[in-house]
Amino acid sequence: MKVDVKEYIASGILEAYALGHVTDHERTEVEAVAAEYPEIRKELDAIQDSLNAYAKEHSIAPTAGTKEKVLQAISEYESDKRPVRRLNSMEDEERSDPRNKAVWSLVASVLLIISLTGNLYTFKRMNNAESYVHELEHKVHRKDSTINATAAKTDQMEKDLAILKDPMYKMVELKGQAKDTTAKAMVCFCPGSKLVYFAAEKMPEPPKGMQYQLWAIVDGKPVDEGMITMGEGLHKMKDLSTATAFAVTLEKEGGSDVPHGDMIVMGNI
Amino acid sequence: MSAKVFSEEELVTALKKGDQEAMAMLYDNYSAALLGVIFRVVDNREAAEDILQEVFIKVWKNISSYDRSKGKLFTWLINIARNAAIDSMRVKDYAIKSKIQSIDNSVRSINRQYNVSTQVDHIGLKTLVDKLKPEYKVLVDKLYFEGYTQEEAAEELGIPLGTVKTRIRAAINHLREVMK
Repeated sequence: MKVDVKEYIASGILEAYALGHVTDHERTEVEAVAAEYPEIRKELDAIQDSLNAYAKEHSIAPTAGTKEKVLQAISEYESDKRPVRRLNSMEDEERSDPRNKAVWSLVASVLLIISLTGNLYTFKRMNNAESYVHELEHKVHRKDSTINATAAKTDQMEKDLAILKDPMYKMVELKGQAKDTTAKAMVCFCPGSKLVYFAAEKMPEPPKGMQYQLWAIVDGKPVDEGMITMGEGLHKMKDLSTATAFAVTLEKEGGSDVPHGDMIVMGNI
Repeated sequence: MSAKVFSEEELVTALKKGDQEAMAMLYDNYSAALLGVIFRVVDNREAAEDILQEVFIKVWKNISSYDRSKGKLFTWLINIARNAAIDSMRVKDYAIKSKIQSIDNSVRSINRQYNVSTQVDHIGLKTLVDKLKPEYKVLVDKLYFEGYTQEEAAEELGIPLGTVKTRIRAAINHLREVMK
């Protein structure tokens, strides 16, 4: 590297270097230049000497024991290196003995087999436990639905019972007609609240495409009271304020304006 | 401190060979100066002595990386000590304390500037520190001891960066003058 020595010294880079305020690139450059130009080396040494002298002015004698602590730490650091080596050499000896190797291999294999067997056993037990939990969950679920259904049924029965016990309701017994004399049904009618309930006590299931329809006889004429849903308990029908009799006919699905089919049951109020 | 048996080069050679007696000699020669440098940064005697121990152990472990062509042994040692001290300040996040310390230092230097006559210790035995102009001294202290960059020193002292560069050069020249 070609430099003008005076210019280089005047640039202030040597002072910056001595203070440690240079980039890695600058440091490399200064060191290279100082190695090449003795004059610059001398200048740099002088700068460093002056700063070092300045630093020495601030000297503080360390406490007496510090020197011993330093030397002991260094001596411990040096002796710490050795046991590591000794440990390694012991391992090397063991490793180089083929009998030891065989024994360790066997021990490792046995331990592995025990471990795998244990894993398998645990895995099976876990699976069993899981399927048992699933089964219990199903059972609980089934019980829940049964309880819900029972509760709903109980609820319905209580309501029906309340109607049956209510003195405001007129209980109309509908008896089987020519087609089936054993057929039986009942209507609960409360003229005050206009409520009408129907219960099919003994009626055969209607044929496919057919449905039972309830009629109220008002002033000698049949009035539509709605289609009958088969099933237990009381079923609410269309409101009605007055009637002299009730009758059920078998009609086409969806019902008719006027009765066409056979009369199944009938009863006077 | 000046009772050297080995030359600097012989000392380095012995240290590189792992001679622990050479280490004792190194400690005798440089520990006080290094402790002074560390103390300037951390401003706590106990912490400074702890760092001093670490520095010597670091020197022992890294002596192989020392190269005379890169500077004098003392410069290398001071750099290790200063960096260790500055690192410890960074680790402990003593930034605020160091600000207070820098104010302290300014106060001290002002005191020194105006009360030289009352400092009986120094009468007839003026040290380098006393001979250095205050504006030079504060700059050398910041840049050399406290690890400020030139930019940081410019900001802290409220002077342009160019002035810092010319002033530090003048300060070191002045040091060299008064050393003669």
